[in-house]
Amino acid sequence: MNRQSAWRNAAIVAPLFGATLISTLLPPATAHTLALALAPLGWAAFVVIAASDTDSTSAYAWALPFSAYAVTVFAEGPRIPALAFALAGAVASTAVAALAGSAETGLARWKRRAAMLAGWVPGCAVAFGVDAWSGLAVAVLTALVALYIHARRTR
Amino acid sequence: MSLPTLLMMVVAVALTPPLDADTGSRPDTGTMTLALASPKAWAFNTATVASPRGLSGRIELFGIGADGAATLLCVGSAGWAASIDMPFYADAGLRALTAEGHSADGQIARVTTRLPAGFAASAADEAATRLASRDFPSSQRGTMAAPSKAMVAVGSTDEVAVFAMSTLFTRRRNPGPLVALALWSLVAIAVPLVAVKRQHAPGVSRAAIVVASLLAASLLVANLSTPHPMLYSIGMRSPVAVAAEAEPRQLRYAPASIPGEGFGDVSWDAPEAARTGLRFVLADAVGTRGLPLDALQRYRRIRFKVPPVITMPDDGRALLVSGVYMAWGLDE
Repeated sequence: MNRQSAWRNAAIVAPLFGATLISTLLPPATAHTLALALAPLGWAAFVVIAASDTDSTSAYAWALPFSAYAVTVFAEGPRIPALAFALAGAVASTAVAALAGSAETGLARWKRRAAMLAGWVPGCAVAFGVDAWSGLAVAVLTALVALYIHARRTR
Repeated sequence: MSLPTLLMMVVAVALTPPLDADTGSRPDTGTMTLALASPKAWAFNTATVASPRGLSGRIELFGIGADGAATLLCVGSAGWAASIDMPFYADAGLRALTAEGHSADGQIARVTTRLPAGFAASAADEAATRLASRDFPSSQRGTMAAPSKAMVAVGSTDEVAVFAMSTLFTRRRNPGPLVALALWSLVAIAVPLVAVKRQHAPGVSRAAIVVASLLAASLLVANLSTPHPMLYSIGMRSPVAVAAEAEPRQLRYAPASIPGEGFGDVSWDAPEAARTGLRFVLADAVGTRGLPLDALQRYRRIRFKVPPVITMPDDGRALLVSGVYMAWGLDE
């Protein structure tokens, strides 16, 4: 961790806090529960990719409370399943990204970015197509498969 | 268009049950019955859905308007009962009701009943006329904290409603979560700098951040997950008082908070305003399970800007689904 991490964290939390402040001035409204849960995490992923950072775990962790706030205040559907899926999706994304290594240059860097986004795809496809609990199950499965492959490689 | 496709379309049209010419709804099926007890327009009523074979699972009650369009009014769960009482809000434009669900043996059941002649008469009675003459304010709700007392110009009933929306029925604010998120943001920026100075192992710091994040998210959910639906209302000056005075004037209104079971009730009244009679009502159930129907039982007639849908969860207490509702009600 260093000063660059501080700037990265600021780039994640400052816009999210600004959006939270603005939301308090808007009329009462509801929005899609999964979209609310995933938007802050998606922003964190974007900042990680833009900053060519390798630490997606802490990026997601800093953004998660904003997901919790957005879902709890504005969600039109059940909150706990959406938040649980968001958490599992972040774990799956981090686990799949770990398979691509931690190289920071050239093709390896793009592979890690693609892996980070690809970790979300199976869970999101099922969560939006079926329901959040099913998406959670798929995301957990994705994370377990990625961790298993990573463990086999490091033996 | 190919011949097979054309033949398939003809078969599909031939097999589609024709709509009922009277109500515009799909034809009845199964052994379901629908009984109504003198429904009134612009009021909450009750329909009894029953079947000699028993009912099971989800039962939906739809209202059929003059144009044949079906609007969902109530959703309930029969739970293997022989009958279920379903409350519903009746807009003046309703012509018939349709109940759909399954009987206890799993067969699809549907029944449509036209509303009795008394319903149309109730849509034109004195109470309905009084409600129909009111407009709904188009102004947004204020965001500043509501005052503890307010001088309200009572020259016009509609102006009172606009003032209530902008100044009295403001949204409650809970600054706690915003302060917590602000602190969280500062911590996010400070932690990397502190970790560098103290030379913590990155893995340990990351684990601590994840644990802190989960804790913060859980606390936010817990803190924000128990908002109560709120019901605001303001009384209008009685017609007798209005007729007795030549010039409009201001009245000092004060709020009275009445804790209801599962909802908050804030009533704005003035000593010179009638405590019964016409009231402007705002129900805010956003982010909650819904507003208990009990909260509105005091209004024998009530005209909503947007008719609410009622749900009946397993605990048996009917709720207006989560949302914001504006209405004029007669508390008499």
